[in-house]
Amino acid sequence: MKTAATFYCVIKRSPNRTINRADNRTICRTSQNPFFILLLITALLCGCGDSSETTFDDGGVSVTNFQWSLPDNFPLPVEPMDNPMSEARFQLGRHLFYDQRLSGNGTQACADCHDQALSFTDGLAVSVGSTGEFHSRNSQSLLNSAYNSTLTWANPSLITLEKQIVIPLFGDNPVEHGINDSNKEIVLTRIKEEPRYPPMFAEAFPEHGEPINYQNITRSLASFVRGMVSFNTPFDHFERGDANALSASAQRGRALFFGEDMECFHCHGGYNFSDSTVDRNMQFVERPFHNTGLFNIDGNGAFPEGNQGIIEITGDPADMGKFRAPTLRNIELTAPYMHDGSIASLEEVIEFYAAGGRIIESGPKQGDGRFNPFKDGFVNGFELTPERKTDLISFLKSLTDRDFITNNRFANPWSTTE
Amino acid sequence: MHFALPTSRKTLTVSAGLIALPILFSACSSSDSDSNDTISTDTDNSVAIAIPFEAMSNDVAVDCDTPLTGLGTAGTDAALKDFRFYVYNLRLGTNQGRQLVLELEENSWQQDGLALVDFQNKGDFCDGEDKPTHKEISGTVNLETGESIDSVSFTIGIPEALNHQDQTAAESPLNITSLFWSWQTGYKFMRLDIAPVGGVTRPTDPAYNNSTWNIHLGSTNCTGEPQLGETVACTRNNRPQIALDNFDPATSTIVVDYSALIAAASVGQDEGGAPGCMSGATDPECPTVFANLGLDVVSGDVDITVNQTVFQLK
Repeated sequence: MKTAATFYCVIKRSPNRTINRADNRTICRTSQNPFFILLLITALLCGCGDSSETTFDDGGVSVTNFQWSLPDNFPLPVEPMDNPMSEARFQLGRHLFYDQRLSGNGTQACADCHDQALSFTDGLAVSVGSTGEFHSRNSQSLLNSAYNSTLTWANPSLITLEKQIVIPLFGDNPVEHGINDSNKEIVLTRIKEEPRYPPMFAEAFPEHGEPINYQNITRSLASFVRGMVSFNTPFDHFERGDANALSASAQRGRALFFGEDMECFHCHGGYNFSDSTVDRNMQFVERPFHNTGLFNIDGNGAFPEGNQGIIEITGDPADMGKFRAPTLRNIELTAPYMHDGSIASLEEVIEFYAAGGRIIESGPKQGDGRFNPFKDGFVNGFELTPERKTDLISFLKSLTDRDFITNNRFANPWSTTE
Repeated sequence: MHFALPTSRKTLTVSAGLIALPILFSACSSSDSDSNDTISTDTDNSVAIAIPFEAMSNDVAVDCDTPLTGLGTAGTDAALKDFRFYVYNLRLGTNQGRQLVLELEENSWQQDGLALVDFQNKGDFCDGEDKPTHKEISGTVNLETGESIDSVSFTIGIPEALNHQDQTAAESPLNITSLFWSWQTGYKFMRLDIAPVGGVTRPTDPAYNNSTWNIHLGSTNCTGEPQLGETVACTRNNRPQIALDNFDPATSTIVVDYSALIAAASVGQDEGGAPGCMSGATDPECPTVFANLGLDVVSGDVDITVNQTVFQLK
């Protein structure tokens, strides 16, 4: 729990709660990072200028210059101290997100694997990079990724979008956008030569003399993705008191979902339906990963080579097959499912969990995942009747935010004149 | 030592700058300045040192144009794809028992006491156009009268304070995208990739084929996020320490022996994990590669019970 205290000091936002100032002082003194102090000062100064909503006296922790458009009393996501949110960065990031010129061969934009209509997924089992290489993983919904305590399917080291975005842009295993040492200046020149960009960069990064660079590109992209918040589903309306927002079937499914028989909520709990969630009100940040029994190739728990979860980062044998529980918001729109896209439909996903793991009868991935020794203790199967299945799916479909997938703020800006 | 300063530093108002500057200065002062002070009277004895490196494989110089032959346990032939590594903490021992820090010349290959050694003479994984190499680390030390250098030591890798910086704003030689190791939140300290003739197969999986057998050395299992004010810590540092006696800067060359590094491996095959060794603690190809660099593959620390076999003097 090494990060919680520092986190708290920086980001706690609790206008309705008492802030423990002693904690703040203690933790700030123990920080080893000079930037931390520096940026805290920056954050405090920002707070002084935002008198309409915040004051210096709340510790500078509710500060934001961004219109998050969250429901009342919802916690703000974390904003990195060196990349605070602004509308200018969000809009610049939106343009870059939809710009294929931001790839080595000019053929791939972020949006090519993250389509708004599919809640920013691509509908494929695994994604394909700009040069045709297959990714080992399924494209994830970007919705509410500002609240993810870790990013991608399985990486305990990746905590900020700014760091994560470097991987698709520059990564060579697999190649995604394919920006490399040979073409990185060419790509940058393409961006500089687009007439819309220079004024947008200047507005987003007014303190920089030459603002069109990869640092500001990643910061802008991160700001756009961070701004993709979604809490406007029938489920949310129901939780806020609209009893008619959910059908009777969905309400029964809701009870099943949060019940101790099916145990869904242990990993997919909380307002973002993931136990890997962080916001400004949290004093303790958890970054869990789970093995759900998808594979058991050698009888000792093995997952397929090259796609084994956080063991690839930690090297800990007990981390075999462990992946982050993604949000279930908009899950109706993001098939196929699992980190490798190996389950096609929600019905099959529910059957998989009801069985307590997956049996693969033959072939190189043969094995009985139900007996994977590293499987999470909450994936132990449940009784599934047709009615229960229908109800559970009704509930999962109540987690769909239609406004989010049609909201112009997240749409391709190049097709408009704005 | 310099930290990767976030550019938001520049957004500070004047008053913030006044507050922040002393913090920065106190945080960034280093022991180097102290040692400079103590020997500042010896500037007359400042000696320029150039440490040449050679990469060899079975006694043939390594470059993009020359096939590598007779590699590993199966005597595999291969083409070079990449051959680069970072070095820091360079120290020279003297006949008076002193260990002197080599003050590196600052250029596009060397910054902040760190140097990239690069034998890859063509871009795009040896498939592209000619590119410069960097086979000599240059710097200065202050010797006293009658004092001479008799040993050299260095660390392979990038120091912690530089390894987790914002790569999109890093300066040369830390702005090389093919040495980013972003999914491990740092850099590849060492990247030695080859394309074996016949590709890489896997005995346990007839359907498996890969074109390259790679060594990617870097720190793993890192946690902590500098952008959120956290200190990054990696449980496996994976930084080899090399110490070579009988070093004479006038005549010695440091030889990097690739064939010795992979001597116990069959480079046309991969038993599991990443093709080759990408620092995975459980990768079957990693234990011997790590041991040949003097590292314990499980802890990622220097293993004092084994001697590295890769770096020698000529």
